[in-house]
Amino acid sequence: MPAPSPNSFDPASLAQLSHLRLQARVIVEGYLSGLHRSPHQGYSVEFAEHREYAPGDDLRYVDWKVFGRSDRYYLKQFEEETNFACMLAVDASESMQYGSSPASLNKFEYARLLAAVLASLTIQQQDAAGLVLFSEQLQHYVRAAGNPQQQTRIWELLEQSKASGPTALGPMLHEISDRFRKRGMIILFSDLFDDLDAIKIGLQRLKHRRHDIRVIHILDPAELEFPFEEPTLFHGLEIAQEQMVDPRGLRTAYLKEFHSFLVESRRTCRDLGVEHDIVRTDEPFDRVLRRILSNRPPLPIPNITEMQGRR
Amino acid sequence: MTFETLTLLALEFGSPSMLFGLGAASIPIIIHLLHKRRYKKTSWAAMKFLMEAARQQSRRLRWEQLIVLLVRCLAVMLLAMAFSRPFFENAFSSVSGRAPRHIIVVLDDSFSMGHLIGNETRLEQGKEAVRQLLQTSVSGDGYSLLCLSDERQSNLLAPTFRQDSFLAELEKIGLTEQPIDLHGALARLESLLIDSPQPREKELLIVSDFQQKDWSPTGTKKQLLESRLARLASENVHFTFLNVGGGDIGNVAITDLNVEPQPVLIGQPSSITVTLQSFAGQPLENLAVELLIDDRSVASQSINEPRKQSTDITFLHNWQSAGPKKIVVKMVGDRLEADNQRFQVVVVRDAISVLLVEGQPAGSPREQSSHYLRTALETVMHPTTSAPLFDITVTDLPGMTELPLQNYEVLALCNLPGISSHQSAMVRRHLSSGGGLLLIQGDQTDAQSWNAQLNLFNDQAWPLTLNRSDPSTESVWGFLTSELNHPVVKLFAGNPGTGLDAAVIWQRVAWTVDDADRIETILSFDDGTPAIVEVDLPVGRCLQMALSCDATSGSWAPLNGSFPPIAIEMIRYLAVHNGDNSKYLVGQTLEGLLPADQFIPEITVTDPAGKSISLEPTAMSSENPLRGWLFDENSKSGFYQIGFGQPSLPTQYIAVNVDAQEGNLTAADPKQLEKELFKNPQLNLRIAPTVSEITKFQESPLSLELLWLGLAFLAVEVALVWNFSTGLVAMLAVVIVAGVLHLAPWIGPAPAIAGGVLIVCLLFLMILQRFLTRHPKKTSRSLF
Repeated sequence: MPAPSPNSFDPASLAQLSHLRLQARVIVEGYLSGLHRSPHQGYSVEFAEHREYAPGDDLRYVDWKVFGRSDRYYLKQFEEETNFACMLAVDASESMQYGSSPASLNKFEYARLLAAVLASLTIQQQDAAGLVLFSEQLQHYVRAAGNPQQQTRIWELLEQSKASGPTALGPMLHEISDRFRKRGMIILFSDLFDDLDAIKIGLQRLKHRRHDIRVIHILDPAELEFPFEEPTLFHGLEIAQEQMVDPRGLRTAYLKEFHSFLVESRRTCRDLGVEHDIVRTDEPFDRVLRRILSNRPPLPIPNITEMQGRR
Repeated sequence: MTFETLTLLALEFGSPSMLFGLGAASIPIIIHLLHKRRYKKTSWAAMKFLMEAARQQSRRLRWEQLIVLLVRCLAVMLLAMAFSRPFFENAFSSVSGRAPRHIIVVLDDSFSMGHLIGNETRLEQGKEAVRQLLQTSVSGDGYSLLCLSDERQSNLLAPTFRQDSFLAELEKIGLTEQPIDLHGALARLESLLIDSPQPREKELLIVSDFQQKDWSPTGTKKQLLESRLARLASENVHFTFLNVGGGDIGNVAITDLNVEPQPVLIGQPSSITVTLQSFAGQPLENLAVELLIDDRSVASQSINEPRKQSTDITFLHNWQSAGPKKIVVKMVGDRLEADNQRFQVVVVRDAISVLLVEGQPAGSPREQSSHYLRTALETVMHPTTSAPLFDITVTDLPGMTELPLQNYEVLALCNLPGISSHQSAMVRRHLSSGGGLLLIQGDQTDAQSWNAQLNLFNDQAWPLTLNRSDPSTESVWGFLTSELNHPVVKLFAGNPGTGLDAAVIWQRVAWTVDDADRIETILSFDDGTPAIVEVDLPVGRCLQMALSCDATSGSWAPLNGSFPPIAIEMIRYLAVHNGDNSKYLVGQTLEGLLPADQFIPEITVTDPAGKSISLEPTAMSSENPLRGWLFDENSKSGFYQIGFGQPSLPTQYIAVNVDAQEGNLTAADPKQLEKELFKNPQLNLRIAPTVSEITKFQESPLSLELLWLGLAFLAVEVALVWNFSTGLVAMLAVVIVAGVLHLAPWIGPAPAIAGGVLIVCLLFLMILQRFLTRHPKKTSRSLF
């Protein structure tokens, strides 16, 4: 497969590709090629040490070369020899359908693509990946598994899913907690447009089960910048209301409100020890992946003046 | 109203067609409404935050939109107004295209306009202001010039259309010494306006110092002034007040000059009293007053009494020769010249001529009616020459008709039965020329005859009617000594036992007082009946006695010691010639009687400037056939010399002074005048406060100011749209700067510029602060 073009992580470029699996594959291969010479060589967990064979051990891990030299059975031991499970929870409510630019990805498309890529990378690492799609109700739940069919299944489900209906993020986190009992990692993809107190309680419950939680707060640039100029009739995606607005006069007040929401979201997550990362839908995927996979700290919340200045 | 000059409120417009541009002010409103109708639709996820922001901002947003809309409309309107070239409705505006007008300049030429401001008088300043204003008037304007005090100064009543002629006439106007005649000027103005060609608009520029005494009248004067102005209201006149005075400017004036005692005699010291009055708190200090007699300086005094408002200073002078004397007092050290001097004429006599007309010539001297009077007068000697003070002539009634009465100061008719109409005419002439008359009536008096002739002494009916005495009602009377206020008897007041209370009268003339207001009782009988009265006459003095000065009336004249001093005082009182105390003011008509039965070749009046004018003899009035002279061109203060062209008739001198109240420079408040006198809405009044204000107005046309203001508001609009708070600050700055610039004429250019710089600095700092807040120094990694 040819190496991806330099803009293979750009959401606008990826939007040109019709299928999610194609989009995900481009990202995965592009991302891995940035880390290794080829995605098909040396792909494995890292070797750590040898130990003597004991009855009942898996014969697949016997180091036959050592047996040839020393006539003893030794097993290869690897560093990440754990049963890691990652649950990808994607918000599929109607608010996630918003995208300011038709030529680019909306929030839901961005979230599911990111989830697909992460699922692929997890499974390729011999770990288990699962998927939760929810809005007001749980739409799909795929238990975490590490077999190659799991990736296909997750990708298909993500590709077929659509964002619709209102959000009930708090109750859904409870539902996930009930279903995903084994300790693992939960990555939540959402715009968090719901009651923050309910979300907090949901996260607390997940945290109680000792999950590692990472909230990928997905936002459209327009929601962060409010770049409208002309009088506009805003039609609510989840709230069935309309609001006629002269954006120039309202911009500062809106940004102030939104900034408070972002600050409150981060504070809620920080108090629970949850990683909270704001991701714009125009942000290249490699930057986001690098931040997620290498455990880099999240970027700070922009202040209002910066939000105004980005217009 | 013509299309070329559209009058709207107090403004006119040079290009009124541009006013249609005001309609453009509706464009922002239309755009605003259209803008509200056109909108985009979009779906939105973060609806919760949008609705909360809208809830918080909706009220503020409406206000902001309204203010921005108003600023846009205002900017358009200001620009439209600027292009229509507005100017304050004023005859003197420099905008071409307005209709020609009739410009009437009314100039205050009273002497208060001679007050010096620097090296210039107020009149000169006012004339200069008029010249400046007229530099910019348009072709076709008509000009008239009126003077407020002396109408003879300007011959330019009918409008001239040549500005150079008008300016030449204006140049001729000088200060007069007359007070202003507001009513006369308004009457002339009224007739001028009626004659003014129609429908030309009339602009009336009144240049004056607006003295309170003239412009803030009270009572009847105020009503008169209001009625005059009411008549002008119908003539559609635009008034403009140009005040060249202002404030309470202090001044010191000489308000009076008196010589006492009268009559003035050689060798008898006189007190010359000068009264100085301070107006508006001007201190009476560092002043010097000089006394001149017959153009010779004889004395001077300096005045340093800063706490007084008024003071009298007295010069003592001893007269060395007889004849008329010209007295002048001059003050040095004051900025208004005209009221710094005062003139007076006194006639110094060496003796007092008295003609006694005997009514009972027969018999021994003691039985004559004039005997005791003559005896009393003969006892008085001149203090320095020891000659008799009174030059006494005694004659009978036929003899009186042959004597020239003008040679006698006092005529005493002693117990005459009656007089003829010819003799009555002589007495009348004597009184009219300022002489004194003593009417002594006693047992010889024919009441009926006297009542007929007394009424001929004067134009008015005699205030007393003599009654026929009734011998059956004989009684005895004394004098009432409780009320002795008249100068003749004043020396007995408070001195009981001097004889007056011991007098016994057994015969008297009965009379009835018809007009008590025109008599003053000098001495009364003890039953309250007047014994000696002074009859009030317009010219001359007359004392009338109800008892004779002989033994027939009682013991008073022959025996009582109080008679001689009272008789002497009566003659002295009557000897004070009316002309001696005449106090003419500039502008008043001078008048005098001609000597009777003498040929007068010519009457010549020489004014203080030396200009001689010949007069014709004239009858004093339709009822009064006496010949006299009238002179009504006394426009200057000083001495007027009246000559009769005959060596036997001495030259007369008359002193004329300015009205001292004109020296009160306290000005009326023009705003108050507007409230009180210009209440009628048809009377359009504008007040140009100062000459410098007019100059500023000429140099800074309104259209330019409006243009700048309109452009400034456009900039404010941009600022408001960019950032509302900054825009508000900018708008405030524009309003303040415009206000400061307009205040500059009042507070001076330096404070105005300082204020402007301060405001600009504040504005700059605020914008800088906003800029720094908007672009803070980045210290952390940005998400974006």
